[in-house]
Amino acid sequence: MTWAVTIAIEDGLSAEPEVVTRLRKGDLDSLTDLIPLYQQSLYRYLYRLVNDQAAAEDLFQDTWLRAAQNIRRYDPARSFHHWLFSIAHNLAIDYLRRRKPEVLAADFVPAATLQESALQQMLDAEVSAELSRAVGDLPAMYREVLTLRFQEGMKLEQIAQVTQTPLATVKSRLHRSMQYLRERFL
Amino acid sequence: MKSHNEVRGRLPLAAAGALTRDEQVEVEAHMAQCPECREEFARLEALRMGLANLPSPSPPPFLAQKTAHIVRRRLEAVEERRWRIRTIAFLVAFTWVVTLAAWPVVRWVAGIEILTWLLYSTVWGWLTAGCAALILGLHAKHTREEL
Repeated sequence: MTWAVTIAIEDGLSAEPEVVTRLRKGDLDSLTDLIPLYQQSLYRYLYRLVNDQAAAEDLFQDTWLRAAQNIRRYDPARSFHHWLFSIAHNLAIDYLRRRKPEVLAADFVPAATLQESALQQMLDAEVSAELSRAVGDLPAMYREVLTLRFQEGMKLEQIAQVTQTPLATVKSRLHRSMQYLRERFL
Repeated sequence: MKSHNEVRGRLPLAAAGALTRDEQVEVEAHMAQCPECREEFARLEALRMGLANLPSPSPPPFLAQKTAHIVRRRLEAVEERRWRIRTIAFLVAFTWVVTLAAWPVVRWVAGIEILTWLLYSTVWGWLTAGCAALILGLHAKHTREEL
């Protein structure tokens, strides 16, 4: 797989309302403009959640199909970005439940602590890859919160909305996952 | 004033920017006089930066185009199916209206009673509808295979 460093949400989301309005009016051509706006962030979110390239690709397509089928139910007062991610969340959770052995939100035990020097090298590619693996080892619910907070730049309230969980649960998952990574790395 | 341990427990959320304003103020006030917590916070900050800069998986080439194409085809197939169902429902209703409206003429010409007329019409109706359903089913199967 090709990896590329991408921070936050792609450019072009400012065009969201107009394209979304076109889709709401039944213009299926608007999908050609709309999907690329979310391609990177939605795929990344799904990939981090399910840890599987093929599954992430299928879920990406299913998310857009579900979004296009239900676009009339979308409330324009709400962020399309968050609405889309909540659809993706539901589909991914269904997939993970079917896929069994992975545990969605079980307790996890911190692994062996790495060397102190890891902190200074945090931005080093090797450490970054190690951190990526550590995130991948977390249960899906914790990976999800970390991805939405740090890669999608969502506020806790927005994460609660997307994941349809209480704010306190989001906070607790964020706290525990940070604590886990802190103990594993530093 | 929060105790050292209470503040320390909040540091992961402070680094994640997930504390309320009041909590953040308390944490900052404590850190101003606690080098140990300042050091811990700096580590968590580095972790936060590492998380924000994780390598991002690249989507497969043409994923957006492929998705747009698939979604479009599936929605069109659904719309066509709806149209077919509406058409069949209209034709069934139309057939019954014509059958009932034609009965006075049939009785005048052939002297057939209404129950006999309805029996004949129903048998012919089912045969015709069966053929129509078969043709539409084959067409739908062909469309699905194309998708």
